[in-house]
Amino acid sequence: MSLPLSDIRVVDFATVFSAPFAAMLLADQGADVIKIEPPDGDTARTSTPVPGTADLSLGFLAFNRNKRSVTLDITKPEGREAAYRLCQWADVLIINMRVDTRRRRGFTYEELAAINPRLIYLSLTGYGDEGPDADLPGVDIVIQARTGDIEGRQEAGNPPPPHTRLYHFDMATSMMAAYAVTVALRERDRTGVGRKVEVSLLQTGVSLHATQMTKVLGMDTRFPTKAVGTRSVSPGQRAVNTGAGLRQIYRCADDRYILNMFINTGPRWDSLCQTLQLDELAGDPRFDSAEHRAQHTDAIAEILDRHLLTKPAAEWEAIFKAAGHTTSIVKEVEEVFDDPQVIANDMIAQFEQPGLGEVRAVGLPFRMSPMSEEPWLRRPAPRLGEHTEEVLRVVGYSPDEIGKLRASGALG
Amino acid sequence: MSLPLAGIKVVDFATVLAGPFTTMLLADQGAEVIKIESPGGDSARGMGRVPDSDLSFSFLAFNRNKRSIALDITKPAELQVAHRLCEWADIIVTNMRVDTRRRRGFTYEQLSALNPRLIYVSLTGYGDDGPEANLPGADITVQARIGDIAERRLEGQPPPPHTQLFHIDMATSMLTAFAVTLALRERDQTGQGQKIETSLLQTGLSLHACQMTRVVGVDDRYGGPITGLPQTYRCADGRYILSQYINLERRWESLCDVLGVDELVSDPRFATIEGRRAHTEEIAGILTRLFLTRPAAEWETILKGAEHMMSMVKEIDEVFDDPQVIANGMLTRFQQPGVGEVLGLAPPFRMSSTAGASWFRRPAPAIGEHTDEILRELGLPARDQLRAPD
Repeated sequence: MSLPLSDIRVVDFATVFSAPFAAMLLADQGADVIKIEPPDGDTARTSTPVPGTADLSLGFLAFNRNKRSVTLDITKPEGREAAYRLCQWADVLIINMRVDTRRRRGFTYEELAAINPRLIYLSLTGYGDEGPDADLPGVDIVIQARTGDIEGRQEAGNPPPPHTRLYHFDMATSMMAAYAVTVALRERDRTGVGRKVEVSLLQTGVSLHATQMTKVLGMDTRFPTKAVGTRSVSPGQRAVNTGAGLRQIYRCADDRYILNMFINTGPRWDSLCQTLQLDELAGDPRFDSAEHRAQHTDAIAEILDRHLLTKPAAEWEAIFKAAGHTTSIVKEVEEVFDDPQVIANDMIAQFEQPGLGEVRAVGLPFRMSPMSEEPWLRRPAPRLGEHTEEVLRVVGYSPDEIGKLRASGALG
Repeated sequence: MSLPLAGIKVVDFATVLAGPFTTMLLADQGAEVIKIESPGGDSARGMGRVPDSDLSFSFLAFNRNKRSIALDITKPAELQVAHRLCEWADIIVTNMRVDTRRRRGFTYEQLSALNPRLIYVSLTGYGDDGPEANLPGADITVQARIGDIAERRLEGQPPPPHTQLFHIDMATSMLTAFAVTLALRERDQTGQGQKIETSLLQTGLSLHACQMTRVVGVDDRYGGPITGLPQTYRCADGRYILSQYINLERRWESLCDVLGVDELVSDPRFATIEGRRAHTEEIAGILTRLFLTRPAAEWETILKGAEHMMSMVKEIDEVFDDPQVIANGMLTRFQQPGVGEVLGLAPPFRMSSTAGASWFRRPAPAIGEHTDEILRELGLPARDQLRAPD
């Protein structure tokens, strides 16, 4: 059995994280992905390269395995012509060029559909292809501010917390893009016609907040963003999260923290009292009904604060897990590589990167069975322009023509 | 032109958020989705209740375009109906615990014996294998487990609280929809269904792919705590702005030019990157004072005018009014019986060929609203007349 997309050709004409990750999601499923880079390379290569290399950063290694690289200077007519040849060859084009630049350089959907009507053209932008900000560059951290992510984590009396370099918006946009492309591919199987697909960081951002982005007209209430036990700064946040009311993160004896879904209603509350063996909670009339408990969440949190300080976090984790609670120690990213559950489900991949050594990275984001006999990991991240001549031959350039292209400076 | 997934039949045998959002992503592309609920209903129906109604915001967000059948699968007659639906379906999405599946007869092996073309999605907290395969998982525990909370911790502070923004649930749905569509396309070619496994834990790692990429033996990692110049500043009206280009390295000249701060340009100490790094605090002080001189909206106009990547730090409630969100058709409205008009999100991407097609077909269903209708379509009597198999 071969990989699901082994019949599909993709041109990754994009930079930095989100669009290259979308192309890698397709590459890992078998697609033949060619990355068109400008002569100085995808900017992700050179921002904080791994010590000892000039053009391989962790951010590049994370999203460019299973691809070939060709360098083209599309400001030169010969370079642009070669890029067009690749767009004719491709089933899917992934592009994050700014909308105004596409028009200037001749890479709009209309222009490319005219030379390849079967092409699926994925436009991945910051803010969508239309509207007042369509021509502006966009980036994950700006979407954090714009979609309420930062404000949603702000505590009363404090300034907004800093943004994070955990790029949820970039990554989720790639996931959305991979879904949309596959829907369009399946449709093309039946109709023979390609189409344009538009995804954006902003649109994905609102989807990540879909629970909060659902309102009833004329009602102030909506689903709260803040964790329970966090002081709310926003007067709009009045929806009640049924069964909530208790803080969920507590410090333990070894100074580590544990998160547990402490629920103050129903059988989950009974289970909590039993698991913690806290007679204080079970016997106190302030805590004898869900209504009373909801009025005394601070008092409960104080008791839990004291009690959870009596054992190290790992002990509590074992106790909660044995009781079937939903729990985890608050972990550092470093620890995730050693998480036995991560290892047991093959979530980490390892590959040899020439000039660097062994790279450990996230593997396939899901499993399909029966597994393909064709290995999904076929090549490491490419060096800049590593496959330029090989790729040009694929789209019909003769050695002679390649020599001329090189002489024109179109290959960088 | 019809919607891309028209004709595809989906059983949503899942609760809460990640499973139902997956099936809604499919429903919005045209798939016919039947939601099997227990007689008490999906527990999301109680999460964040809309005042004076029996519906919740979290249920409304993820259950439009579906029909609901209520079944008690502990009763043999109703269990049989659930199995009939699995024979009918192209896709089943289940988040039932792995041990419960075995007990109730909903493993992949059992269902593929009934329907070899079935695409079976196992959506779990922590994956189908390993020591915690049978434990319940939730977005917030995965936040703690994959370093999301620790990574946002400020120097000298306890970890910040978790968030209820549920990125990990939502992203799991997006990946699952991708996997399902791959499997559908493969089935078009082979005629065979398959099992797909996704989990919150596994998606969480993908969301942190930059941080989760290492060179073995090299002590270097991506990101880490935010250092250098702050990128968020308070303005004259007490609001905050954030800009990507407020940094010491890239576009420094453009930043000084746009902000019109001669202090920064003329001072020789700030002429080089190294010099600026050595004086980060002074520069931050100058910028802090500067941004306090105008309201946030004015700074936004100035910075956007120079094509700087920036935004005001906004509240979720403001996002509904963002002109860019509106211009790209990211919002939708629909009538929900018993509640009124719901304002929510349109499908999360646009496709040129379905620009005119109507993706919205129905609001979120009441518990079991379509039970007898669906039973009739399966050629079965009404629920109260179902009989146990012999």
